[in-house]
Amino acid sequence: MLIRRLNIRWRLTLWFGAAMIVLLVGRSFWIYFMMERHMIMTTDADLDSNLDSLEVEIGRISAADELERVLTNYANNNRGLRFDVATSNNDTLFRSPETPPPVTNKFRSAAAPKLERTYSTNLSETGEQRRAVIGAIASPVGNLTVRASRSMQAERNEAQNFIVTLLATLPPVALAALGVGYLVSARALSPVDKMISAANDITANRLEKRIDVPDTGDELSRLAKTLNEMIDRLYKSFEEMRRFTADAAHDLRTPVTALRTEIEVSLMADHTVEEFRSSMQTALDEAINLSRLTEQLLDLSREDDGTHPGLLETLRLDQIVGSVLEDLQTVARQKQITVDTQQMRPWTVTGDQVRLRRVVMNLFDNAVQYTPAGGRVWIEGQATPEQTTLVIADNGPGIPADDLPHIFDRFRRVDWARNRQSGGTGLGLAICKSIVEAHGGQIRAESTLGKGTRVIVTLPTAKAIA
Amino acid sequence: MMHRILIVEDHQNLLRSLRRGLETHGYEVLVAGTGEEGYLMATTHDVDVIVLDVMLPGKNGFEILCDLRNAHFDKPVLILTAKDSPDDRQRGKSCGADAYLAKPFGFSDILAQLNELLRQTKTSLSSAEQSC
Repeated sequence: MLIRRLNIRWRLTLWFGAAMIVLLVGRSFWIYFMMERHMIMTTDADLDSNLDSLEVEIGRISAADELERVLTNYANNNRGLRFDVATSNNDTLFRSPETPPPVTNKFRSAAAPKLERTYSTNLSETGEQRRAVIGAIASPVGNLTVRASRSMQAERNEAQNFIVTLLATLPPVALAALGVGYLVSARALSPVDKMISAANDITANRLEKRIDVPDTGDELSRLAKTLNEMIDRLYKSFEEMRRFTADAAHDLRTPVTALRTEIEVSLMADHTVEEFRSSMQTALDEAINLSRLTEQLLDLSREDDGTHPGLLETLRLDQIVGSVLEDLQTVARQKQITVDTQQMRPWTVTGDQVRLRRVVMNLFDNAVQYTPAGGRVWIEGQATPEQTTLVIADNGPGIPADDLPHIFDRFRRVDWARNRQSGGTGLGLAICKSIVEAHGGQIRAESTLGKGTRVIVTLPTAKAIA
Repeated sequence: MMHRILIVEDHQNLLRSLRRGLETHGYEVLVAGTGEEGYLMATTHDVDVIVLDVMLPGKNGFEILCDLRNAHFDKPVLILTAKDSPDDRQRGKSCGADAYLAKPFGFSDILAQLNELLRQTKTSLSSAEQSC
């Protein structure tokens, strides 16, 4: 469709022009129709008054032989009128000049007894349009049927001339309508043009700029507001991405520097086997740090992409907790940390076993890492038909209130130095948050300085199979 | 004359490697793991140059550098950073950093930078002596 390829301005113009043409043509024909109706009404009124006059004239005669004279006289005075008069037996008593004999007697016989007048439009033998009436009149010589007609050609010609004139002016009027349509649509769309150029101006690098919102409260101001809100969200996610990239780069650069420096320094001079062994150990530690970080970055990017396979099976969360505890029991024991769990009931949730296990693993690992030797970590949970809650708590040093809202942010660490020592990447909790939210759940933390921290995970309970 | 270098870096492995490398090259090395510790050592020991990391627990490298300059510490400072943004460089300069090294770097890079800083100090010192 060609019209779809045109811009809105031209489409509006064409629609406006087409609507104007349809309206104008319609209006012309309506006027023509009204004129014709008027013409017929006035002609019928004229015929009626002629019939009434004839009735009066005929009513005056006293003898039948006077009829011819009266009617001839009437015909002479009313040249345009053709009429004939017949008895109720269909005997024609008078026919004015030029009046053709009736084609059929049907109307006459039908009209006579009822004294009703019947009108019709006919074409004369010369192609002239005439209006005719058949009516009955009472006279001293009995009931008579009168058939009268007069031409409507003059009026019809006038109406036709009128409509031709109207239609002839249509092209210039249509052109003017197109011009007006173009101007109006151009004016209406100029704020949109401005908005487009402003939006174009706001590229990825200039997202801090905004579109001017007209103070009109109309559709355009709402559009500008909506666009600005969209740019706000884009700006925020770009900023987040930029910060994340900078943080990721930072956290990758330091271990790479340590690895490189360690190897360079080791190669600079001769060393004992012990020294080399120690260097290798340092290099290995850094390589492990790097691989953990890259693995977590990859996990996060998969969560962000939503490209995780996401096997949605019904899982037993209590079994996942049990298996994580088994794996990490040794670490906890080494740190002399007591691990308690309440009596666990079968908590069923729907999700991806591997990812949910990672959540429990990260949270438990975190609790053990941040709890000093001799401390305690405990796990509790409860399930309602709607949601299953899992709490992993410790009696570690706790998190300052200012930091608490940010612990699930990427690369946010409560204590930089402590994190370095514990080998955390600052991504573990962010990964937990992504996974829990992808499962339709929520994660939050409560903490009291000096008393400990509770991380609370809620997940929708799996619907029981009926 | 043996130069004394103070390294302020919280990454223990990096700190250890740098110390070992610089000692092999005949420098005397002092180390600090936090900014506050670094400030204390710089103001209490006679050091010739400081290698200062930016991301440190507690006060960051820029804040420590500003504090040192405010305390009239006039020895050269080499800033180490993993966030190599123009803003960082500007901030480092405005705090009075003499050189800037972005991670990841190699040991040879930091060695070259330190030698250059010490050479500049020596030149400016000798020209100052001459003018006296």
